[in-house]
Amino acid sequence: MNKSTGKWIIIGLVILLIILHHDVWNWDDKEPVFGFMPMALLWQAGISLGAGATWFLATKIAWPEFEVDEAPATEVAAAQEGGE
Amino acid sequence: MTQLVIISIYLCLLLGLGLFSSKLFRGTSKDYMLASHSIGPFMLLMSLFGTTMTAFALVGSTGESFKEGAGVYGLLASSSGIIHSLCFFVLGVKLWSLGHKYGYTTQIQFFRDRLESDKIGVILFPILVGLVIPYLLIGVMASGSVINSITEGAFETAFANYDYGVPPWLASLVICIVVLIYVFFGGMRGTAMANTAQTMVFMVLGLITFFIISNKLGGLEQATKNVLEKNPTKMMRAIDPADNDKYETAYAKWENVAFYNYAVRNGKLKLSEEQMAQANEEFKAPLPPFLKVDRAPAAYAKKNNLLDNLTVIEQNRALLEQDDRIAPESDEKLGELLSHKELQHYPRQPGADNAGMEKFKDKIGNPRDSKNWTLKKARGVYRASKWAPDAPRGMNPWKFLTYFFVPLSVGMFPHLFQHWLTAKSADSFKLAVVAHPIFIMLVWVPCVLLGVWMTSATLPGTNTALIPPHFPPNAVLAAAVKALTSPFVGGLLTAGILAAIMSSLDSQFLCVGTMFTTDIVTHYSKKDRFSDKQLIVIARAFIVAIVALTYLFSLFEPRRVFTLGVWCFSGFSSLFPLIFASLYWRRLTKAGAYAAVIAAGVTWLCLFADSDFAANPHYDFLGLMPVATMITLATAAMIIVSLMTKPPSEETLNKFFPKAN
Repeated sequence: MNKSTGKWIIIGLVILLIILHHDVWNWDDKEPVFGFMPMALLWQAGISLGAGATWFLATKIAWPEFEVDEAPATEVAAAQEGGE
Repeated sequence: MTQLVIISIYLCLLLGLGLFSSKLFRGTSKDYMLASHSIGPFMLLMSLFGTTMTAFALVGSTGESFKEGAGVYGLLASSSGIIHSLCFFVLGVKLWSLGHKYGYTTQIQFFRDRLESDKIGVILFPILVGLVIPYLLIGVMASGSVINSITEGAFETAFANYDYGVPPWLASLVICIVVLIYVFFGGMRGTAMANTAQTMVFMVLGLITFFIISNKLGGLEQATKNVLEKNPTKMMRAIDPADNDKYETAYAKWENVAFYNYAVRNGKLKLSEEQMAQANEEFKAPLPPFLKVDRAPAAYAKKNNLLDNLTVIEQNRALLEQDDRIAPESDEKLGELLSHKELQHYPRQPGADNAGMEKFKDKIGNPRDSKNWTLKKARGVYRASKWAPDAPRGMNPWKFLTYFFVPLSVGMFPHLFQHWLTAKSADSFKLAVVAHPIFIMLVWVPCVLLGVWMTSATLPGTNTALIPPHFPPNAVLAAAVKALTSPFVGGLLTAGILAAIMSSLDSQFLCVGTMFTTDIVTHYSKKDRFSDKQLIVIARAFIVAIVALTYLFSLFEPRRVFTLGVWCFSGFSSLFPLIFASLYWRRLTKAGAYAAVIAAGVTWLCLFADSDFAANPHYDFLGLMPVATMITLATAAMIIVSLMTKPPSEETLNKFFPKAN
């Protein structure tokens, strides 16, 4: 899979997370899950886990590549801080 | 006293860590500000997480869920899990790459270069430092309030005005000094090491305390069952009809007490001794004497229609006085009976609850004796017994949706920018991007659950509310820990809370010093004017000045940590379009950037003033979070002005948008 396809998959998953985050269907659900967890909290904790999974996937299929050694890191520092 | 000893030991350990990290200090300003780009994945994750999770995450989230219920997690925590990592991924990695390539230390260096504008620094510097100050204020205020609450009764006779605990002003001062010392000794490396250690401390101690407290409340299920029975609205984001009915009954009774007190004060009613005796006999509710004193005759007066002679204007004045609000001089707007919501539009008299200290002076004393009340309790009981009951509040779905804009602030936090640049390589970001949402969950879920449970928890073996209504939200966590754990555990958790607070303060301290030396001092002075050592001294002097200013602000009337945090984050978020466009939109121009900054600044100031400078925690604009308006206007101004002005030079475009091979 190329990086471009990977990026689109991650964008799609982030949009899905944002939609699922707005869980209006749970708005008036007061019954606890597992006997203690408010649904409003459990669902959103699930969103956090989903975010972790999405970002894990992002590091595998959409991570950018940089050529970091192509220029010295002191260009601006030398100009603005009087050199090192 | 045990808590105070543990806190003191923890602070000493932290100073030791600062001294140790100073041994690794290479003596250059670059090492002081960026740890010579040497921070690996684990320390980057811990320092980024520790920096973003502050008093706001522990003290603020518990207090806010106590007031607003379980929906608070969705407001900021889950959205932060998505948005923070998005910012690390989309902005952090790219900015790290540019910083590494062109030697940036601060955001302003990057903006000056990208926007081909020297003056952008002049406008951005005061805005960024100005927004960091309220962020610092959150930590400084919270540390004072937590230490004071947890050390109540630590002294035999000293500090009686602070419930015989460490005064908040002294606690905040000590915390500022400790953080200043380890930042001064260790620079960025010391900060990153301290953040890593402190993040582990607050996560582990937080989880241990959570389980201890839930056991004290009878277990997870029992703690939640109490909430379902007493405050079901706190379990969801809509209003439970049972809570609404309970509130309406309580409010009607409160109105009647207000009318009775007003009538008595103004000579419109005086019950005879016989009537008073009968009122007390008929009043069956098991209330303490200080509540019965006006509840009983008020119920009697209502039953016998003795309050019918009050006009609507008098009734309104009665409500305003009972709720300690500033009544208007003219009767013009008081022609119709005020609803509770309308009543809340009138500002409350500052420090009105101090009357509780006079009213209950016979009960106040050193809390070492459990029969004695603290000053905080006296003020709390005054508020709960005199002011109108809290109306149950649901969450507006539109406001909930637009809260999503608040975590975008991470993209513009100057201290986070500096942390990004400490990374050893782009790959160092991977762990932070993935683990950040999970870590947020581990910290926020217990805090939000605790806040929700505290709405309905009672002191073990009694029916007395552990935390009364109208309790200051900032003190809920400390009060729960103090009431339900041993002094030893209480001391440890306080160390954990302070760890979370200090792990943000240190980065912010360091960052303001770096910005001042880099963006102002060296930028506007001749080359080689200052040596590296002189620059570090200048940075430290500026840090001390900003910390002193923040400390002075913290001595004024405290605001809710959560509310203040949201305003501060909203300001940074409103600049998010600028950083995003700088990296991904070739057409962004210097004029477009100025337009965005001015639009964001002006909108923030107008809305902040409109919210009575954060005094109104439920402020919205057009039914949305104010940040939505700020971001919309800043984005619109940036796009329109950029398209109307000359594009950046080819040289700049090639530098920041190199063509792919």
